[in-house]
Amino acid sequence: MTSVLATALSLVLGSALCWASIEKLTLPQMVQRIDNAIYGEILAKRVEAVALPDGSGEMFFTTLTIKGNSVLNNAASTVEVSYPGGFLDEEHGVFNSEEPSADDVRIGNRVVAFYKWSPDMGGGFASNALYASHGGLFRTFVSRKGETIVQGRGPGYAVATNQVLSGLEKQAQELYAKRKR
Amino acid sequence: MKILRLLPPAAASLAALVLVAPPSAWAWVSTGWSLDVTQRDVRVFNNFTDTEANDNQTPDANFPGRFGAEMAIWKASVEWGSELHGDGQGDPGQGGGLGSGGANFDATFQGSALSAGQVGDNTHSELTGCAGGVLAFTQSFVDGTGWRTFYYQCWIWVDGPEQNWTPKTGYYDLQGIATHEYGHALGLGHSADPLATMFPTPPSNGRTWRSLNSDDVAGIQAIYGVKDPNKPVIRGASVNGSTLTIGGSSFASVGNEVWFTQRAPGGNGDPVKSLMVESSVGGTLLDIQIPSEAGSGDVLIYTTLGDGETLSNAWPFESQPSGCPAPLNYCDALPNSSGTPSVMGAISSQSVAANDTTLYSAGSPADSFGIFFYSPTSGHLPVGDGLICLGGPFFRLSAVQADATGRALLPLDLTMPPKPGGQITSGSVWHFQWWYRDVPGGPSGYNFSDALRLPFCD
Repeated sequence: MTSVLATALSLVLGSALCWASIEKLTLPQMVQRIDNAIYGEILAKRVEAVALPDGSGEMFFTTLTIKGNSVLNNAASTVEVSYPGGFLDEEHGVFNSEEPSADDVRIGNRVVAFYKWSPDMGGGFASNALYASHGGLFRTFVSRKGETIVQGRGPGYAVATNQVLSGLEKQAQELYAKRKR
Repeated sequence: MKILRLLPPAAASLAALVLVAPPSAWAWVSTGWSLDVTQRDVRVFNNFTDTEANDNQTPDANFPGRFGAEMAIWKASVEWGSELHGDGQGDPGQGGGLGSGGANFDATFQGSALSAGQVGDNTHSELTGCAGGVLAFTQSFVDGTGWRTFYYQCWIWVDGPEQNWTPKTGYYDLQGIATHEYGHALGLGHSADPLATMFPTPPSNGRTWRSLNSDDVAGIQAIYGVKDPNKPVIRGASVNGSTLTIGGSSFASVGNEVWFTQRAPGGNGDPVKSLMVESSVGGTLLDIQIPSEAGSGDVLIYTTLGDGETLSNAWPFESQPSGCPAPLNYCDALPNSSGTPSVMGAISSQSVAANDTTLYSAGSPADSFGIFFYSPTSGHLPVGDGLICLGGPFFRLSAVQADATGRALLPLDLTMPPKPGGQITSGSVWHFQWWYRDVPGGPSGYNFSDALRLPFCD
């Protein structure tokens, strides 16, 4: 299985994989650090290459366009959030272990995304950084009862366990109100 | 009908499998690639801007010639090695020492890079900017032809080595995070084991990631194999002028390559190599001229003989050590009736003027009688139930009895050689060994320790 995977990956000539470590966060810590969070639908996805100084090659960034409502104040908005990693085409790009899986960022998915503006994510690339990369994006689904459930990612993540969106919003808004005070 | 006949045995086999197969507790993840022997180099472009990243200016004999961020990252890479790096010291928080996990990926530290380079240049460096909660990342080619690691500048990177610095928000342990990142370079993804170094989020500031967890070791051994019993192992290195003597085991008789760290910054990561080096004393000793391009760092031995290509552990190498050259153990002692081999050593100084050298041997049977003897040359000859590792002429010292723990001690009196030819002078190098009685240990009733190569100075 491993060799099959290696062979498959090797077909992506000239491409590289990118692995990382991310900050360990609780929900209060996440709310403390971010500019905002959105619950909404992924409308678009694009990848950009950015040259690094001193001839050190390129970095690749993926940007998602998400339309929905702020988790912190319910205001309607459309935001762009970015993370390191992505492929321009089959031969050029970088896959980053911290990026959400391809399935998580499929266009049409409804997600909760935590983000913070960064004037330089590397190579001078400025954008709303998806905070902690995959650790800042959580998929949702609607239960049979009609509740929107946010899917947790386990210990170490801001949303560790599955919870109802309204409950998460309530917690986040209370934390944000305390932060503002 | 056939299926019906096959089902009961198949079900029985499955049941048996369920009953006998141990539950797998491992949570490591392979990325699907591995680094070959040409990708063992690690370099650091030390552009780290935090004072804390470079304030460790205390020399460490296991990491000669390096300080601050370079030393911290070097320590991170040796943690994945097959053996302790030197004596394993250098990380106060590691009970077993650096490299104690026996993970079996031995890297060659190649010193300073002059830039971050490209993916595939196998470098660590800081990256200007910030991507939210991402601390660091490693980019790798999917065919295993190299990698590059970046640490985001927006965090405070702390070089250690002390474990007890007060954790603060935004401060991260460079050695710990580098250990994690190097695991990615070697072909490991993120583990689901929260105690593993390869777990995606570090506990606190990442200090505990310095020491590999059993899950990390299992992962790397699944990719690179467990250490082969015939793998060359370096157990010591001693510089005397322009000559380096390496002691250990399983060196090839001919055709060894000795890999050094490059002296000058830059380069492309390729080690400085001495080629076609012969070993002596049954593959336990190597003498080589130190190449002019070699600098302080580490040495490894590579050979293509035997079962394919093999690379030894990395051993610290100080190119211009101060003081007397280090003593060096060599030759493989054979086990005695206590179940262990007897090992030589020396305590106090190697100073002729001080005349305070004491020989010792440990691991002999309790209360056994024996004799220390010495020679100006090394050798390798099966005798009795063991090996004579000296080449002669031999000089015999006083008889000694080991204590109840199997340890024998003999203070040397350099003013009273047993014979005139055995006079030990400053600048001379001698080889010492311990012969001891061990009637239950074998048909001959006597055995030998390993040997100690001991230089003497003023």
